Amino acid sequence: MFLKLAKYFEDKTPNESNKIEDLINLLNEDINNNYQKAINISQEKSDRGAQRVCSWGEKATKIINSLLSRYEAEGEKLFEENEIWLCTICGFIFIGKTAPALCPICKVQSDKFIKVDGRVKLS
Amino acid sequence: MKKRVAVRNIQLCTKDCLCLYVCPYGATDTEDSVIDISKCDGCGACAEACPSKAISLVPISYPPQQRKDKDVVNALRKLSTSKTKQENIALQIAKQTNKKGLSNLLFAISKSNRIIAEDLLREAGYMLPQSKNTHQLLKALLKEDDIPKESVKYLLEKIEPNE
Repeated sequence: MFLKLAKYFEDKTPNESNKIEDLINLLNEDINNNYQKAINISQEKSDRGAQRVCSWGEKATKIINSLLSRYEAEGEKLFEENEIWLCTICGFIFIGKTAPALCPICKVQSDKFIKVDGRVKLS
Repeated sequence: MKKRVAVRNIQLCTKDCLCLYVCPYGATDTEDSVIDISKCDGCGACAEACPSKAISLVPISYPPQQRKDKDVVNALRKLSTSKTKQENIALQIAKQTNKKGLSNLLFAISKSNRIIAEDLLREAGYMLPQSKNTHQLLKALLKEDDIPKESVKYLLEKIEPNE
């Protein structure tokens, strides 16, 4: 039922830009500004939950940023013998033959990873 | 009035069936491996006996969520707004590009952003579906015109508020 509502909002959302530069700008804004501000304020208010979500999110965001740079440098060759793996718990993305045994960000085991090949749906 | 019930994680269950052996109420004796919470009294005997640690006890009513500081909420919402935009942009390019690898990578990035945004919003005051925040949000959604109202009503009926 919550998923049905999520789908409703997904369909209703007006499209943002479709330029990869805008995606990279948002990533940099998060990495250089937004996360630092959120980390500072959650430390100031001793909010451990907020500190945790910032710590995971900041790492996953940096990974996304570096993967886009790697793609820019290597192009489609990056995926020649590799698959794309997504940690369904924290959003960490890994390029490799198999999923990592442990997620380096949130430490869940490999069974929480899904292979992304354009058809996968998150439950 | 019982305060907790037992639930089983079927992925951890190794079918030693000691829960059947120790349960005084027959609550674990079901066809589909789901513990019958109408029979369960929350005594915890099954969880103690289980050698695979597949059974845990959960409270029937959770304590109210911790109050979130306004500034923390604002900082987290700013991040989740950015993540939602990134999800949208990545998904659009993933659908438009004819480069297969790039499309898959951007598809993964859009999903990743959804996961991060959901996590941020949970920490920004929506940790529990039973919370007052969630109920207020659902009630506000009912005022929207073309929202799937039956889903909203179902959730409001089904999930008992805990504060």
